[in-house]
Amino acid sequence: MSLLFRGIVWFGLYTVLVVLPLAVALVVHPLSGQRPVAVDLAAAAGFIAFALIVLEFALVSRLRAASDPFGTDALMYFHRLMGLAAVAFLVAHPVLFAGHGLSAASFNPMAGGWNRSSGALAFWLVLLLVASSVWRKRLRLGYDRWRRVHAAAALIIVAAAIAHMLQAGTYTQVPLLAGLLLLYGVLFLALMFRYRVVRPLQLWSRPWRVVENRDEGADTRTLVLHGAERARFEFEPGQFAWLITGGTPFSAQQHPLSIGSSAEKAGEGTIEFSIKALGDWSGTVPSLLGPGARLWIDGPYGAFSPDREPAQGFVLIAGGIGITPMRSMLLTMRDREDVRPVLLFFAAANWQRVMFRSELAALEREINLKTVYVFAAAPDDWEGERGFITRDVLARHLPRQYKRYQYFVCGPPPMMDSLETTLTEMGVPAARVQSERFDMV
Amino acid sequence: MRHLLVRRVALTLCGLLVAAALLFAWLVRWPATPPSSASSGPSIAPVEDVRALFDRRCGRCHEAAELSSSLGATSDPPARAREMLAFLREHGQSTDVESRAIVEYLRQGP
Repeated sequence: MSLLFRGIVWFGLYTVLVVLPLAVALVVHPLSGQRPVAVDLAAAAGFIAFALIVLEFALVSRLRAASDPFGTDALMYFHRLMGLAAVAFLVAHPVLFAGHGLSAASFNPMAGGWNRSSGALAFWLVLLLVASSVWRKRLRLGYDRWRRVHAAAALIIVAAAIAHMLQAGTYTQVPLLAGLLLLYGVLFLALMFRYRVVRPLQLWSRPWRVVENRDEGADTRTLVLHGAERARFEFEPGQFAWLITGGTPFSAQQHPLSIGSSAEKAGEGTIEFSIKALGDWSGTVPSLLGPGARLWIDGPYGAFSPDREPAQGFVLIAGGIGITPMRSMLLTMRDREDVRPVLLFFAAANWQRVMFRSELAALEREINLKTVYVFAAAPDDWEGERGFITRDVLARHLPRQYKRYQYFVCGPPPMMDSLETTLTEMGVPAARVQSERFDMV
Repeated sequence: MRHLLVRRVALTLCGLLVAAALLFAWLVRWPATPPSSASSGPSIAPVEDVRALFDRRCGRCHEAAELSSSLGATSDPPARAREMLAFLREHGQSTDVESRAIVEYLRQGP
């Protein structure tokens, strides 16, 4: 089954599951008599918000079959957008009821019966959860702590929402609809169980050990890991995996990192991750992982790979640590003796912020690679490109047949936003431009 | 580039969900019940347990004590009762006989 077809099937299933409670409510139709339109709209908004909230977890529960056609970062982005949509429908639910007998006291989770307080609890927790996600960095909430809070809040929200709908809802007095809502709850719990218990248990007996912890300069360390035969897995160059530290695979210290080594060496049981000190975990933990340290890898994930589409040549555009997936692609091409042309644009502040410099120089001799460094803070004697990777910079180096190449972009979000627009304006078909974003929260 | 596509897909889906909510609100009242049916339709049996009736019709969302005190708090309780009756006819699923019984129950205090 092609990736496109699988993508259509998964998206279709998602859409059906979002509207199913609403459709069933329409069919069971337990009401008679006149009601204001706003009351029925409020009920509809409630059903949609509930389904969206339950399915939010399905989007990020690392179901490889579902994430393969889209790429995990695209699913994460979809998760964020649909989370905001869920908030909009959730807020609409009481607002539409407000003119029809819903008092301000109904928003107090500590007042009234359980039927109302459960709804109020779910309402405020959803707002809190979304606010803590959107403003996590501003609130100085550590990623690992945020993950724990996020998961616990999601569990309470779904339980409170189901309790509220079963007790306060008129439609849900019909057993068919009540049963369907409970089924959504069971689906949520099953996904949570698989994600929090089954998957870590599967990983438990497949640990990896650090064999080398290398300082690459530019605040970057490369962890070289070795895994026993049962821990090993095949991956495509450019894919990523979740690196789990903290002593057990149940740890909250799970971070998505691009695999930096050659896909052709996967069978030998050695894999590399390069980590730049950018946050609370990456700034402290990697430097402490000496040879022998035990950790786990959940992967591979992602669709950012040159193996998926045929191409005459490649243009790789990296900013800072965004070079890591490109490194995997280049090393894999070397090991496969791939002779297709590759043009690498590498944006950094200056030479001191460039990692893998000597390796890239060696690769230029081994494969058909040309590297263009673009320095934002170049020294006066620098004769290469300066500033950012703009249309002019690209135009100076791209080959004449550039529209037939595959493009891979990985770096800071503003750089990727700008380049996606620039490349489109230059006539590169959108389908030929792949980007990988790790600013998941 | 997938992100631009994802954004477009998400926006389109949200638009479809809003349309689905509107369609639901329209279809759920189709075929429309005549407006007078609540008051002139077949009346139910005499209301024997108005407290149970309140719990069934209103209690899932409203506290009886809260509504009762709002009836007493106004300077014109009869007018407030009429308002509440009109509201029940419009909003609730109770028949006219039931609505009157509920308002009377709330006036007397649960």
